[in-house]
Amino acid sequence: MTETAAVGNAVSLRGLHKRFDKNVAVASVDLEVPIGTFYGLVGPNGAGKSTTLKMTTGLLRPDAGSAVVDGIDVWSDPRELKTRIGVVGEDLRLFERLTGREMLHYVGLLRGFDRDEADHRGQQLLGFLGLQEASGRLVIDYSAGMRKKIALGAAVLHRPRVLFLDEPFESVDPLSVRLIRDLLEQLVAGGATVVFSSHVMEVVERLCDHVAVMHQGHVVAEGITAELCDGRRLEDVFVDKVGAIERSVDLDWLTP
Amino acid sequence: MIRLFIRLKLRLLRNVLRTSAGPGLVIFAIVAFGGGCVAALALREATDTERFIATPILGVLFVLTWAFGPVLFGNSDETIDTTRLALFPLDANRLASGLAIQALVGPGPIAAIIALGGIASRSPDVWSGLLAAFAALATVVFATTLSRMLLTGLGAGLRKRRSRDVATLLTGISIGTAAVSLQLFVVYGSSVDLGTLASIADVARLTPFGWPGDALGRASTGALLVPAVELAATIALVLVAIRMWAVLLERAMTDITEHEDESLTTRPLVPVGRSGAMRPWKVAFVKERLYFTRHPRYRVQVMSQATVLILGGAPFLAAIIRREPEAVLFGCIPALTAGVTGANLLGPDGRALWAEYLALPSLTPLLRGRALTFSALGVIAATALTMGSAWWTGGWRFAPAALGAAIGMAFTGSGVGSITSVLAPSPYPDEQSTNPFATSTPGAGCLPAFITFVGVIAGLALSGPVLYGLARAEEQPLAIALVASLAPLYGIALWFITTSIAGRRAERKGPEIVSYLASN
Repeated sequence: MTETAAVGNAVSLRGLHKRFDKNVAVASVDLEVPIGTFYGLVGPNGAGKSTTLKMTTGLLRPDAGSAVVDGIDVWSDPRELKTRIGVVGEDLRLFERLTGREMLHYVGLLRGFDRDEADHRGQQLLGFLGLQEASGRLVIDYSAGMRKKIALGAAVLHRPRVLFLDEPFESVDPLSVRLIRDLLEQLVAGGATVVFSSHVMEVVERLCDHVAVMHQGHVVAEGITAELCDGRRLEDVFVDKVGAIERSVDLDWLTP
Repeated sequence: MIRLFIRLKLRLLRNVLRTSAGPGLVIFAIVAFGGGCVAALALREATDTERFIATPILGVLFVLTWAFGPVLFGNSDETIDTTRLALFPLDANRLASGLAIQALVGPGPIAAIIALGGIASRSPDVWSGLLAAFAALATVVFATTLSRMLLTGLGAGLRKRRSRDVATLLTGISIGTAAVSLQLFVVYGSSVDLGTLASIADVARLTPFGWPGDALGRASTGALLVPAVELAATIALVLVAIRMWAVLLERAMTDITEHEDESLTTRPLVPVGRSGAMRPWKVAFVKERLYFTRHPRYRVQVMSQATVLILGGAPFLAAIIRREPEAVLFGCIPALTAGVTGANLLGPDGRALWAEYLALPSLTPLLRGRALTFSALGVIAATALTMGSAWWTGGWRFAPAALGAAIGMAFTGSGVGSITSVLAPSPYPDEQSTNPFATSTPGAGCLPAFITFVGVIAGLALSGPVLYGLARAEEQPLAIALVASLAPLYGIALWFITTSIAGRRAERKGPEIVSYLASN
């Protein structure tokens, strides 16, 4: 994949493939994410969403294929890539022994901001995300939702051109979902692209203008959300593409 | 439940063999079994008198090393993570009993049983042989149970900030005591004969830690009554330890979701002063300093290793005792801490490494910032010791050379450490576990430990010119001036080269290092 071919796309994956021992986690995935879109990656557990996102962000080396993000080949110029992306990972392993405020400040300084700017952005983000009161507490003491929010703050602090999020709305209360959504919408309005994986179909349907459905390592459907749904709910399209789990056994002891 | 835990342990060990930690476990098992067989043969060859004297002393050393070793060296086998059993309706006593027995399943304990079995095999008849075999088993059970009890109790305490300060202090004192004892042995060891050892053995066999070893030694000479009593007493001790462990375990398991809410005064990570961007290595250095004060295991490990190095230089103590001015030259010894503690720079907080990896263009500044922390710690400890010994012995003229050498060796050591850090990073265990010293993959630390050892040797070899200069400083004043002025430059130059090499390697293997450290 050449850089020219990726023009117009924030993310361009070609034949991305990953195998863990005998299990193929991602099977030669091709995907195009247009610039400035809200792109949802949906699929059942084990579909390969997280593995795809990790390979796209330079955190996992693919066995084959290429990934171009914002015109940068992920595996030939990882340094440049890092300046352009933000990532909120699946397992949220953060700097447990820093306070929320220190963590944002630290990430800002690592990103090359001067102290005042890092502090300014950190303070604003803490306020926006409703973490001002908890800013002096260690991250280890944060709830799952608070961890999600502080991780998001760290990921957007440098205003990335492409933001990747793995299950951003999991374990988050409805009020925080709204805050996160507002933040992501502001980011997209500023010209950035947001790619996120989720199980929550309603959120994907409401937020994303583009969507891809993954199943067993393959992209089984992708396109503009409205066109893909064609008047139906995304959940129905998802079940159509992936197939409902057939119940083969009844638990007769559960309802005496 | 015992059978269940043993089957679970075997299954988990088998699964470890299928992972990337598998080769480490195999190497560990080969080394352990090989060592066990060699020890068994050596102990089998000893005479009755030698065994009678050696077994209580060896028994005490074995039990104490096994119990306290994980605190010092940072890893213990916790293949079965007790925190994962917290939600099951298990009786704590039965749980502790099951865990105590399953702890015998593993390369280490089996190798120890083989080694001690060498003594048992010398028993003259069946009854004393059986008694000796039980005593060998009891020695290992006693050691493993004591170790688990200690770690569970200490682990729960280490999650609280004040408790972990006390624990750090106690650990430092106990390790320091061991180090001083070793030095006293080295200083006065030449005057030790079999009679002296017999006196030490007489004391050792009176302590509870010496009972199982003494039972083993006596039974191997054909005695029955005294070893039977000692064995019974050991079994009683093991039951008490299991009961205490059960109490600690119950408390630890119901406490796993509660973290100390550490509200801190809000202040910027870096004091606001000059404006402008900070260099990334400086940012990493500042964060590392914070972590040093906040991460319990990190602190215990660094402080205990520093204590060992401060008190562990036998020639230093010998010279200090005699108030020889040359003792000041040994003041640089604690600088070696940088090489040892800095050998796993990416391990602490390694699960969050992905964030630093994505935020920085390369990992070189991160490695440099962290290596600098350990260099600074080594130099601070060495300065304190140099000044203290200069005051005590009056050898102030040697102080510049000792300080110069300390800087040179600290930078050389931490530079080499940065290479071992990317060659064989070792994930720190989950600090929220009941046992912050535990690893769920026994043997996983084997390869990193070996590479660290090689790294320390390499660091010492690279420090050769500095050490040579120090040796000459005793007689030639010019050497003092040369070491004082050139050793720091030499160390810092090597530091830049080695950290660059490490950074390049980290850049090539970044995703693999991040994945490996995040997997714990």
